[in-house]
Amino acid sequence: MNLNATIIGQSLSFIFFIWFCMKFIWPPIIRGLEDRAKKIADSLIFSEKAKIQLDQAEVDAKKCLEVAQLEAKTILDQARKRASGLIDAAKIQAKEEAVRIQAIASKETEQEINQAKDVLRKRLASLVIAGVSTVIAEQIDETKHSQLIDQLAANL
Amino acid sequence: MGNSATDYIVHHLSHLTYGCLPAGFERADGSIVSNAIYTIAQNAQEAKAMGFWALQIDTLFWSLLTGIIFCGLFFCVARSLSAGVPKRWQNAIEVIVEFVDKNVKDTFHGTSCFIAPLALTIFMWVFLMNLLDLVPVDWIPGLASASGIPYMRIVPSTDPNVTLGMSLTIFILLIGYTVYSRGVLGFISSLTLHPFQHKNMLVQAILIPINLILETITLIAKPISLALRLFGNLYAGELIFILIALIGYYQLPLHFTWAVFHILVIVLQAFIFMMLTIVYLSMAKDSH
Repeated sequence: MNLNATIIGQSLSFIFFIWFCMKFIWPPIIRGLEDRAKKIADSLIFSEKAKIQLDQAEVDAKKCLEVAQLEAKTILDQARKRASGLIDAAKIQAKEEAVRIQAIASKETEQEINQAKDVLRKRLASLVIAGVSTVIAEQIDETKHSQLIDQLAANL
Repeated sequence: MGNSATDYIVHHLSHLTYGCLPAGFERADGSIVSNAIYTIAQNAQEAKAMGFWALQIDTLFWSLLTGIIFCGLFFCVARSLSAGVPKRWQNAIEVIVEFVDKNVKDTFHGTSCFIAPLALTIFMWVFLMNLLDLVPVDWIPGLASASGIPYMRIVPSTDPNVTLGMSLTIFILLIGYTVYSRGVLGFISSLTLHPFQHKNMLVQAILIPINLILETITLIAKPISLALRLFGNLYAGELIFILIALIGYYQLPLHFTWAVFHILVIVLQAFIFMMLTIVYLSMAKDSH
């Protein structure tokens, strides 16, 4: 336990270690810690912002969805209306068509009936003429009498 | 190793001292030194005869070794430090650095680029030196004896040379820092105008010597108490380890118990040394 020059050696090495620590150890470690603290703070702020943005986005999405639903509903309603309109129009058209076709058909039948009547009338006329001519062959002026018969036939 | 308990204790408390033996000194083996020689002391008388200009090699070796371990470890981490997720070693060292930084910031108001590194150096170095106290007392001295080295005390902080060397360096820093932050006049006034002050110049003139005596004692007491506190605690701890080692096989539970208690002492003394240094320096800065 003697006090000796070891004191000096210890002091010198102490000063050296302080210098070394001051120069090469403390500043980089503290800088690293500050960098990390800054990074974490930045990340926290960023995540906070992201959270707000997310909330906003959710609200926006909800709004969008509502608008879209409304739109879809109106479109659907319109489509339904239009479809029923179309069906009604088609019904009306079909009825009209039916009526028209019926009219045409009845017209045609009428014509055919008339034609048949004409033909029958003419046949009957010629038959009558033939019959009458055979009965009264000599006394009859063919052209004069056939005119009379035709007039009669037209009045049938 | 000695044959009796006294020899054992004396052996464990002796340093490996290198110095100059004066001519005509009778050495341990009975031979007379004809010319002054530089050699390693073989016993306490020889070490004493070497006077002030002797070096305790074991102390210096272990204190330098612990200092280099501290610097190397922290330097490696400082170089590979990244701002990302810390690695294992980096984490441990950051915890220590932050602990020291927080204590410095709490105690020392103002900015200084050297107080914090100084505190870290003191804390880690003293801690590592103290930590050597937990190495079983016979291991390294036993190894040294087996390889022909007569003495080997491995705990540098049980050597007053070490604690005084550190505290005197702090003392010089303290005075330098007082002069730096308050000027030479400020330093002189801090020694002479406190604690007693009087408005009357004549009374003040009488009070100045009293103040000077009181403040000088206060000032000198700082490094002395700093050194002796650390030395006393660790020396006592080591001595008790040696005494426990004397009792044979029953030492193990006792040894374990004392080691567990001593872990507290080791950290606490390193912390106290650091804190008191910061406190003294912050007192030097703030005007009373």
